[in-house]
Amino acid sequence: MVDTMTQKDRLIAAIRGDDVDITPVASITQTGIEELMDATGAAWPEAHRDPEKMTALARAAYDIIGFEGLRVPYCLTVLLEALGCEVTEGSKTRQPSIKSHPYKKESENIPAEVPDDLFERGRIPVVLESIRMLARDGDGTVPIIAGAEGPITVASDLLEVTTFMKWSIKKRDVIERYVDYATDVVVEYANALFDAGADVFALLDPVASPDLLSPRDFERLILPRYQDMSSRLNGDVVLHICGDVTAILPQLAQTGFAAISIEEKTDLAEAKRAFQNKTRIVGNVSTSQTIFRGTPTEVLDESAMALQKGTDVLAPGCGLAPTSPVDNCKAMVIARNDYYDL
Amino acid sequence: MDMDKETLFKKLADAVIDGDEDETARLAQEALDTGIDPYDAIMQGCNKGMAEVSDRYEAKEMFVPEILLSADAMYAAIDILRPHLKVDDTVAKPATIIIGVAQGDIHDIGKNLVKMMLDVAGFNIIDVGRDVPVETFVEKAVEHNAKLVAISALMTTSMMNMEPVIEGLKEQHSGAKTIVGGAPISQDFADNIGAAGYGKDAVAAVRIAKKLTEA
Ligand SMILES: [Zn+2]
Repeated sequence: MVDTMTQKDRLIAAIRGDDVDITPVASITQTGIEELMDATGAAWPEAHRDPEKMTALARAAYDIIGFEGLRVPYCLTVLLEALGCEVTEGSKTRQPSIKSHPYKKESENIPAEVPDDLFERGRIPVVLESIRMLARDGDGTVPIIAGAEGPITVASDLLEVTTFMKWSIKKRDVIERYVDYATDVVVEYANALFDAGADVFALLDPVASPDLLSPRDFERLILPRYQDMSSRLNGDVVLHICGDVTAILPQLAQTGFAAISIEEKTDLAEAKRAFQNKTRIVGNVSTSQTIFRGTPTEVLDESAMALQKGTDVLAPGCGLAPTSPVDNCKAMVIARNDYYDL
Repeated sequence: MDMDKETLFKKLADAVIDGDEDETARLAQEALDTGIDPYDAIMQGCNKGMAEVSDRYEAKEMFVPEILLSADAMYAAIDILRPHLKVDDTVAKPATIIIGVAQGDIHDIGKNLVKMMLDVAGFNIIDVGRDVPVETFVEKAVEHNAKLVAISALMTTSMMNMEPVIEGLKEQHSGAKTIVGGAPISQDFADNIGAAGYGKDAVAAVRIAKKLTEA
């Protein structure tokens, strides 16, 4: 029965393109914002390293904002740190960031195999523990969404992005091998996230953006890896690529992933037409503008527009800026409820 | 053997476009050997090639990887030519621009592109790197009496560190204007935080920088 859908069933159905009673409102991108940290005492940077705090902050986005999902972690550095990048700690309103690149300038030294002890490295145990806590302590009706950096982002940060870009032309075979390695690592990690209890894997790959790499590279270098991943991942995937992805919409329709998360720079109606329901759409309320600095009324309007254009999951277009007001986030939930006269 | 000047400039420009640094270095040396004015070789060879690269980038015919190779090719020639410039070619005092990536962000590829194109356009560039604290932007602007501060961010989560730079400049170095750019940035955002300009891409950033520093 459609009218008794749990939030978990609803989100999964929405991204798979199955029937839903109402469109879910959730974030597949980072949800750690300052007001939630203050309300719970689970603040950055500790919430990046402490499973209890990571868990508490995820619950706050559900309890206080009303997002219909529990989303961890809050940065794009967990996997990269486990693979040898040094990471800055960040602060309460600043995400950890990558400080060094373990394979910089070492062309012949591509790691061939995923490390045996990957899941014991860095903060991976923290994220896995947090997901287990969310799964154990809930009643199973709220979807758990776990995110990680995608293969192009991983490969480019292992090597350092400028080298990665240049070698994508000059030493293509080396880059192909780096991306293969990164793909294997992300697949193993994502499947561990599913095993721990994640319902949806958010694959975040900002470096795959057409702002950086050409649609031709997307087609040849990236799309085959995404298709390979989608066949090897043991659960539902939402892919997020930053920026304007209009130029690669036809390719994004072919990844095999359940849904694609888009920013407001891509027109939702145009994406809808290009996807033809081969993949679904998550988005696309502006995190850089409306949610971050707009008013709740502006968020209501933009959310209503996204729903009218047919978003499958009403969601922020990208990660929430840490000082975004809670009231602006709540306005997304209100907009969804208004849309259905709830 | 004795290639005429125009042919050499054209070859140099083409080698920049092709991103062939061995060829640009060879042609730069040939220019010196045949007594061609290095200033002309830079302006009519390297810069002309880079201008074409900019056009193709704007038309989405070239992308970041190609541009990075073109930049390497251009600098390979310039490094050979520059020591031979006559002094009076370098006395003009260009406007100084501080450029860097907002705090919390390590994605510097966009910044590097803009930096390179501003360099080609003749500005004096001070690169403060990536993940740059607000205070550093302001301090460097004061120290170098900068006309312009250019800040990029590739992530929504770091773009919020742009506005404090603008505030800081207002207080401590009001002569400097700010331009912003990067994937999550829009004209609206730039207007809202009080930036003087928004560069949709590297080429637009240079256009805006020229406009703002001429004023
Ligand atoms: Zn994004």
